[in-house]
Amino acid sequence: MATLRLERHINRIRRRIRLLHALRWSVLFALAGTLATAVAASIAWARHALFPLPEAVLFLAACAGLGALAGSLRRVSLFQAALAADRRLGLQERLSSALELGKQDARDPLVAALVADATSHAAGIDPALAFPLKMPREVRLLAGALGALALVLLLPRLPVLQSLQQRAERAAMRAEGERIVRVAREMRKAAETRDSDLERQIARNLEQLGRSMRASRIDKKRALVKLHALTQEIKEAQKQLAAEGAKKSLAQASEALAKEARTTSGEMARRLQEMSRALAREDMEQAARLLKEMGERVASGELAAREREELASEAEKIAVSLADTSLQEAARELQEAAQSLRQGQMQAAAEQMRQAAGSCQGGGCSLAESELRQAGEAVMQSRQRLALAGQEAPQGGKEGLPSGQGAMARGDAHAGGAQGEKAQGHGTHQLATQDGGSEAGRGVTNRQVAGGTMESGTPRDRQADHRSEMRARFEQVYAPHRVDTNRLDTQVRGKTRAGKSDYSEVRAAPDPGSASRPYYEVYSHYQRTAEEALAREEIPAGYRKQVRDYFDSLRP
Amino acid sequence: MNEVPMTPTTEIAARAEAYRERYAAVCDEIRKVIVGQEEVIDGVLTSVFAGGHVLLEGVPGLGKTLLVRTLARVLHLKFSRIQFTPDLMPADITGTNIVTESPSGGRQFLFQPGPIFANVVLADEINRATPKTQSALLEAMQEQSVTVAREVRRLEEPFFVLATQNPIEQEGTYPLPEAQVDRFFFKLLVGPPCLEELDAIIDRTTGTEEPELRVILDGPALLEMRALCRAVPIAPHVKEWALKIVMATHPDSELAPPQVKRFVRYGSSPRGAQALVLAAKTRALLDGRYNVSFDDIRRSALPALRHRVLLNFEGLAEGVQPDDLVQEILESLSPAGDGEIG
Repeated sequence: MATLRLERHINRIRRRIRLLHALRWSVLFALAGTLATAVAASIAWARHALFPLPEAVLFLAACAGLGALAGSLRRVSLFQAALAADRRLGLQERLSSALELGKQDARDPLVAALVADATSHAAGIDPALAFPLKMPREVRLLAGALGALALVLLLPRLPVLQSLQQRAERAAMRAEGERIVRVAREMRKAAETRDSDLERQIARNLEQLGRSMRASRIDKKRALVKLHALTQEIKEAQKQLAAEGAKKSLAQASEALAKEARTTSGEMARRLQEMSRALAREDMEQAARLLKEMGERVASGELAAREREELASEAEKIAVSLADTSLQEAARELQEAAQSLRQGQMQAAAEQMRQAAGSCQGGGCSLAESELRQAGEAVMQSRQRLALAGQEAPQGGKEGLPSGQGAMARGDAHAGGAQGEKAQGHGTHQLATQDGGSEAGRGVTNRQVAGGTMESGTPRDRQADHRSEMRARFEQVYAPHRVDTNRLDTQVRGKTRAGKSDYSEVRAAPDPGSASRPYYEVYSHYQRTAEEALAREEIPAGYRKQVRDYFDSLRP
Repeated sequence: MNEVPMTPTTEIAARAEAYRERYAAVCDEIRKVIVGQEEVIDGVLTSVFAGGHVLLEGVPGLGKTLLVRTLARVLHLKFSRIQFTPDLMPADITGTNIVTESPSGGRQFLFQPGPIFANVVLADEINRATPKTQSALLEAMQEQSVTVAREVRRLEEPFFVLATQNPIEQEGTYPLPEAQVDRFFFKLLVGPPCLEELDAIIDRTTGTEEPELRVILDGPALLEMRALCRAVPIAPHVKEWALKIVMATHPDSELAPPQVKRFVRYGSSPRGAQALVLAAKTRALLDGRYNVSFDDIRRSALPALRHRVLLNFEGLAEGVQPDDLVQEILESLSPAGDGEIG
């Protein structure tokens, strides 16, 4: 073929052009990657999170590599290479014309002369000299973009540019991340020992989150949300393990015990019923307390024979109902205690009852469940600490959280809207009506009114929405002569008076709204207030649990 | 990069070398008489070597006629000059049948050839004649034949018309019909000389010495050169660009730039494309190449297309120059290979 030699020469040029393509495309991809990283880092900055440097560098390197690959894979035909050489070297289309015409009619004497001429020109071309490896013009743009990226990546790390709260939050994130990673590693070791996929999965998720927190890759809000999700995951796993280990549920045990209680009478029936209710609520503390009381009565040594028999029978009934549940161990100990009582071994019986109480308090769970529970508690504590992190930092003006029962800050009232989807899962709106129950709400904002129903002692009144009937009172509370609001949200302390109050609970999605303060910042205040109320007021044990469950479910 | 010397030593190479030498020799001879006007000389010779007719436009006294006369002397070809005037008749150009008396006493019609029957015809001040007379050249220029009294008479090869015209704005001129203009291979604009050139002109024309001109070429040699020029191949991508340029002169073409769409009434005919490619081939050979380059096309575009782009009323009213339009077309159409690397 007449153009064979010419094609060989042009092929060398083509390889060189591919190399230049690879260089240019790597710069272009790196530029795109830099811009994308800068945007991502800016978003992270806006969310008070730090974009990780090693990942950024790796991403940019990957972009450049990908660009080089894409550039080198771009199709460059011999003709294109010939044209490029013609242009670059001023060959007046000798190479491209010879390549094209040589294929068509190489017998034409003028075409043959052209091919010979072009081949001699092509032979003298040094591709490296003709197409030197110089940086494409986009390099300047890349340099600028890298500079901007460096600023976006490094500026948020400067302590000068961080508020005290941010610094505290970041420190807490790192510390909690480290803790969670430790918990996850221990859990993983245990999972390997037991060869449990479920635990392994949870450990993996925990470790990932811990690492992200340790490297400040995620912001506080997302960390809290993920921690919450992990807590739920751990709880589910606990339930699953418990269900796998037990043939009977605690609810079934409760029912059985309630039946037994109905066949008895007097003090014993009352205690059995109490135990049944505790089991129904899965309130292990209460159950343990009841067993402890039994143990204390035995330990007092003032029991008559009939009372001993009664106590033994009571322990036996409880043991029978708890058999085959997750409290199997407690059931066995109670059975032994009943036998000891009948044999007159009071000290042994008392000790066995205490052990049963201990087993009950521990949930009567397996080793795996116990470890899961511990991990769950550790995660929950981390959540708590993280939620509170940075709260000590000074916050000016009305942004500060007010203290005291029933007080409500401006952001609190809006928090329901911010919580959005999460709140819909268990969102409860209480429609409260009041007839002279209080002079005014205890905490009022221009969105919501709370108060009056606080006399019921349940914090669910916090979300009470007094609509038509309360609107007049709302206006009254907001009367300018009473409140120096200056059109800003404020709080008003009310006084509870005698009168009838009532509320009804309506389950619905929360009202839409926008939060002026993040949810996790106000949650801790609510929970503290609720805990104070629980400690101060006489609240039945069942309701106490309900209150705690409620706040647990709201935990960010 | 260093230019690698051309290696082919074939007959083609020798012919191409002879082509360049002859061209250079003709140029040298013409330069003995004509001062400056390099572009015009180059354009005239390109047309002659490619086998086309030339229209030289310029105000009187710039050496247009002298250039053609000098060329005729150098080429050793039969030369005739027709001075176009308003009263010139077509028969004055083509010739006519006249009644003659035979030796036997009878009378017969005898064809008396006009000045068109030459190898090189100088149509001086062609736009001073009426369009009817101008049109007498139509057949001769395209078919190289003349029809008189229903008899077609062939013109001797090589045949080319070198016409001069004054700018049409001058009084007493008739614009050439479009069909006539289109038959000219090139239209060359003859500009005034610069100071140095004028100085040389005065020295040469006011002294006693007259330059002696050598005859460089005869008819057959010229025809051989034309054949070689036509044999130069043109690559498809270069040809495509040339054709796109011609297409872009049409206002209704997608390739036409906005100015063309606005100011042009008619674009170039296919003759424009022929002229563009042939002229580019000539230039390629003169440049020592066997292929046509984008530069060859670019350099030939103005003389080949300027007289083929016919302005509309708005273009004429705005004083738009066809050269500017062609230039804009060249800038708007980038040749193949304008890539990111090349």
